[in-house]
Amino acid sequence: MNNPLAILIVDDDDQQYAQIAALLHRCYNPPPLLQRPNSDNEALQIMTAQQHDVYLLSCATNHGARSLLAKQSLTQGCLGPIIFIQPQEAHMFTTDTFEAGVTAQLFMTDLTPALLRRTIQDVLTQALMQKQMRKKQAWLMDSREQEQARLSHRLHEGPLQDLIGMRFYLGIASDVVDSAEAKEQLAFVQQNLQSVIDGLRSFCVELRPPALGPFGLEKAIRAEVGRFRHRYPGVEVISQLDSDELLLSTRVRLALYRIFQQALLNIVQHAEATRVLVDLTLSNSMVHLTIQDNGRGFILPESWAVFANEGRFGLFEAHERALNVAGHFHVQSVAAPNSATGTTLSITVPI
Amino acid sequence: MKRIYIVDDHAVMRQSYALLLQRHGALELCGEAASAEEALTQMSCVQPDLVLIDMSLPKMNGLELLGILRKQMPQLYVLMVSGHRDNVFIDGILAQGAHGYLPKELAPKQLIAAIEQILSGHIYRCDE
Repeated sequence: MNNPLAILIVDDDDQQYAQIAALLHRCYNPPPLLQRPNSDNEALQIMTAQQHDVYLLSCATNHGARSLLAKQSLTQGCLGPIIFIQPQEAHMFTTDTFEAGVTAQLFMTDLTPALLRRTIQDVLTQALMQKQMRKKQAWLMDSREQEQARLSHRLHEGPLQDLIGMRFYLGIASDVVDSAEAKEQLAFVQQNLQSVIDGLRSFCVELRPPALGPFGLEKAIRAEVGRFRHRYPGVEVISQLDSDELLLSTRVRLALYRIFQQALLNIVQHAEATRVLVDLTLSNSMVHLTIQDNGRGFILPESWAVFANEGRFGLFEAHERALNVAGHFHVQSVAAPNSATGTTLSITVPI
Repeated sequence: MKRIYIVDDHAVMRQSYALLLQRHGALELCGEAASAEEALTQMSCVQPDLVLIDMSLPKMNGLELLGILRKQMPQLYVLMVSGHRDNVFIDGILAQGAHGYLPKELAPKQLIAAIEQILSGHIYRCDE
């Protein structure tokens, strides 16, 4: 016997809710487990927790509020699937409703048990495909990180160490020669070798931050903040970081570190901020990372996929990274001309 | 003569350290290993005063070796070397019981200064 479907129905209208519930009971045996939140706020919390199979957002009157609920829930970690139910065809959906992540739309006037059941089946199939796609994306990201780590390790342990050894050897040689000219030439070679060493080392750090493995996320973020301050002295960085030691899994550490790096990159490239606050907090079961700046904000997209379609992959990828470790990814930003409204990026991941 | 043991998987580094110690009147190379495992089997026999350990070693890394040596040979002085120069990295290594830390590419004179300082009972750290 199949497990009953868990369905959340968001509907202000009692009569319409009763109609939908009755139709659903006629669709399924065993009957579905239905839940109805008392407010949109409660609905948002439930949807973000992602404990239902399907979310039915029914809007007798307030289409805008339901659209907003869909958008908010999806940007805060809900994976859907979401079905909109409208009273009649006169209330047409706009494309942004679908861009907000709504998977299907139905009209009360057309609704039959068969149509409802077929639509739910379709969106569940779509959701399954998306889940598989997400798994593949996660695998691709993990593979890329592994490849980068391998490359970093080979560069660090191979050519970089050989160059360091040669430079060291030249240092000893320089101490034993008496000629001032020979010393000068040896110093010149050492300096050039050092430039190559520095370049290679930066590349290795970019590929895989060295502190992340042995010392944890907090130390790796501190090191990155140090490098950032050195590169961009005009941006003040204030960090408040809980120590994580090696409490977090490598995947979580890496995901949060990469999101942090992306946030800093965005701040440098787009925000024109003068101050950045970084906060890493660990509670019993969750780790929270927040990066807040005082720069120019931006208009949040309907979904991060919209940014990806425009070739802006940074936040899209950061969102994917958060999802891959079962995290919640939230961005708050307002675009206001000539005003530093700032952006706050927060990620919460279960430990 | 103070006895120095070297653990580094790169032959060119071991040769450089050996050459440097040869030229020093009061320091003696008492052994060398290319891995932590090899070092652990030899070190109790050669009884060095100070061991110089590269952080990045194959299989067991330098930090793990440090942890074992701090328990097995608590009197032994340990100088860690690696290619990294971040302060948080250095703090982390010293917090785990090393007596000193030196970025690998610093001048030979600084390595000698670090060894001498540690052997005289002080912590050595070389910040950028």
